[in-house]
Amino acid sequence: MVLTVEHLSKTFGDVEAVRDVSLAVDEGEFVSIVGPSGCGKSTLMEIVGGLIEPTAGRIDVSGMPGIVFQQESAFPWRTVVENVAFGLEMTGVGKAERLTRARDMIELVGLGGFEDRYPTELSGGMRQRVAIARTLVMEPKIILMDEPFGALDEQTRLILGEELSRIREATNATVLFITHSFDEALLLSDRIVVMTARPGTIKQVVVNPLPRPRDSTIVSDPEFGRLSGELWELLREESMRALAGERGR
Amino acid sequence: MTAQRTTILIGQAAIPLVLLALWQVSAMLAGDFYIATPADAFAALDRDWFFDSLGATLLAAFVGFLIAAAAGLWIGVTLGLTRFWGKVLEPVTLSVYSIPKVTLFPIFLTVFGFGLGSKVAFGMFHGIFPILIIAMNATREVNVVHLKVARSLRLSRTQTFKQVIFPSIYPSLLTGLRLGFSLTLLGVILGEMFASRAGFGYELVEAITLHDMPRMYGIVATLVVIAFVVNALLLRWEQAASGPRRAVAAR
Ligand SMILES: Nc1ncnc2c1ncn2[C@@H]1O[C@H](COP(=O)(O)OP(=O)(O)OP(=O)(O)O)[C@@H](O)[C@H]1O
Ligand SMILES: [Mg+2]
Repeated sequence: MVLTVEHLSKTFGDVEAVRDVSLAVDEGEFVSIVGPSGCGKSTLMEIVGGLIEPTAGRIDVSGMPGIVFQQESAFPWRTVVENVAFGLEMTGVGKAERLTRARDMIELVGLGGFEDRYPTELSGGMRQRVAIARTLVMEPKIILMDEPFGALDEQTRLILGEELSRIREATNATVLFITHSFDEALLLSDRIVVMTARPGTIKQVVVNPLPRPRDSTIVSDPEFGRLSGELWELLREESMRALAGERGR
Repeated sequence: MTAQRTTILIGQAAIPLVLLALWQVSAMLAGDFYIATPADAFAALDRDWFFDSLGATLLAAFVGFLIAAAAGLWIGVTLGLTRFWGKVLEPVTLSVYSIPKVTLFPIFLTVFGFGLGSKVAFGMFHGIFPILIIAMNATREVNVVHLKVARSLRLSRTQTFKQVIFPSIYPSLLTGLRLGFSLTLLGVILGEMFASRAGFGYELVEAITLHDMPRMYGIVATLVVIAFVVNALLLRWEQAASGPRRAVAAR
C-alpha cells in the first residue's frame, strides 16, 4: 500500500469535518472520492498531503504527493512556463531541462502558445490547467487532485481525463481524485469512495468493473449506466441530508 | 487610448504650472511682507548654504529611510507570519503610530544627541510605521493556497519567503515605502527645526526668525519639489509592479 489512512478524524473548532475514515490505496490505483459539498473531501485530501494535522488517526504515505488544489493556485507573478517549471526549479532541476519538460507538459494540457502569458491573461479553466501541469510535470508517484477539472467544459474534461490516465499508466502513479462528476469517476477510477454528508465518513466503496483501457465511448455502455445509477442512489440521500443540515444551522 | 493618455500627461504637467501661477498671483495680491514671489524665492536660494542644506537633509532622510525600510519590512513580515506576536504587538504598534510623534522628540534628543543622530532617528521613527503596518497586513493576506503549494513542495522557510511571500507582498511593500519616505522626510525636517545646525529644517527656522520671506518660500518650494519627485518615482515603480498582470490576483 502506498497510501494508508486509519480512523482519521478532523474537527475544526466545533465543526466536525471528517469522522473515522479508513482507506488503503495500492500502488498504481486510481481512487475517486465523491460526496456532497462540505463533507470533508478537501480536508481529507489535505491531511493525506501533509498540509493539515488530523485531530485523530494515522496516515502513512510513501513519498511526497503532488497536489492539485481545488482553488486557483497559479502564481500571478509568474508566466505560464515559469509556473509550470516552479516545482522543478525548487528541486534543483537545471534550467534547460526544466523548460523543456515544462513546455512539453504545457503542450499536453493544451496551453501551447500561452507559455509567456501571465495567469491573469488566461481564462479560469486555463489557469486550472496551469496548476495541473505544474503538478504533473514533477512526475509524482502519488497524485492528489481536488476537482482539478472543475472549471472546464465536458469535452476538455474528458480529453484531459484520458491524458491523465495515460500519464498514470506510463508512470504507474497512484491517484486520489476528488470529483463531482460520476462520468469522470467511472471513466478514470478503479474504485470510487462515496462519502456521507458532514461529518464525512465513508458510506460505501464502489469497485469499478469496467475494463481498461477506457475512453469516452464507454459512456454508452449499459454497465456504465447501471453504475452511474448506483452512485446516484447512494449520493442522493447524502446530498439531501447535507442541504437540510446547512439549512438547519 | 493613447490620445487620452497624452491628455492626462498634459494635465499632470500643467498642475505645477498652475500652482506656480497661483503662487505668483497670491504674492502680488498679499505683498512681499507676507508672501515672496517665486522669482525672489528662487534668487534667495544662495549657493553658500543651499547645497550644504540639501546634502544634510537628503543624507539624513536617506539614512533614516533605509533603516526604516529594512526594520519595517523585517518586523512587519515577522508579525504578519507569526500569529502570536502579530496579535500581541498590533495594538501597540497602532497606538504608538497614533501618538503625535513631535511630543516624543525630547526623548530622541536626549538619547541621540543634538544633530545628525537625533534627526535620523526621528525621521526613521516617522517612516517605519506605514512600512511596518503595510508589510504586516500584506503578509497576512498572502493567498493561503499559494502557501499550501509551497508546503506541498516541502519548500524551506527561506524558499517560501523568496518565492511566495515576497512576490505576493511586493506591490504593497512599494506603497509602504512610498508613504514611509514622505514621513521620514517630515521627521528629519522636524528634527532639524528643533535640534540641528544644518539642513532645510534649520534654515527654515532661521528664515522665519529673521522674517526672510524669499528664503523661507524658497526652502518650502524646494522641499515640495523633493517630496514630489521622490513620490512620483516611487509611484511609478509601484505601478509598474502592480501592472495588469496582477489585477486579477487569485484570491
Ligand atoms: N480551515 C478551516 N477552518 C474551519 N473550518 C473548515 C476549514 N476547512 C474546512 N472547514 C470546514 O470543514 C468542512 C469540510 O470542508 P471541505 O472543504 O473539506 O469540504 P469539501 O467536501 O471539499 O466540499 P466541496 O465539495 O464543496 O469542496 C466544511 O464544513 C468546512 O466549513
Ligand atoms: Mg473541497
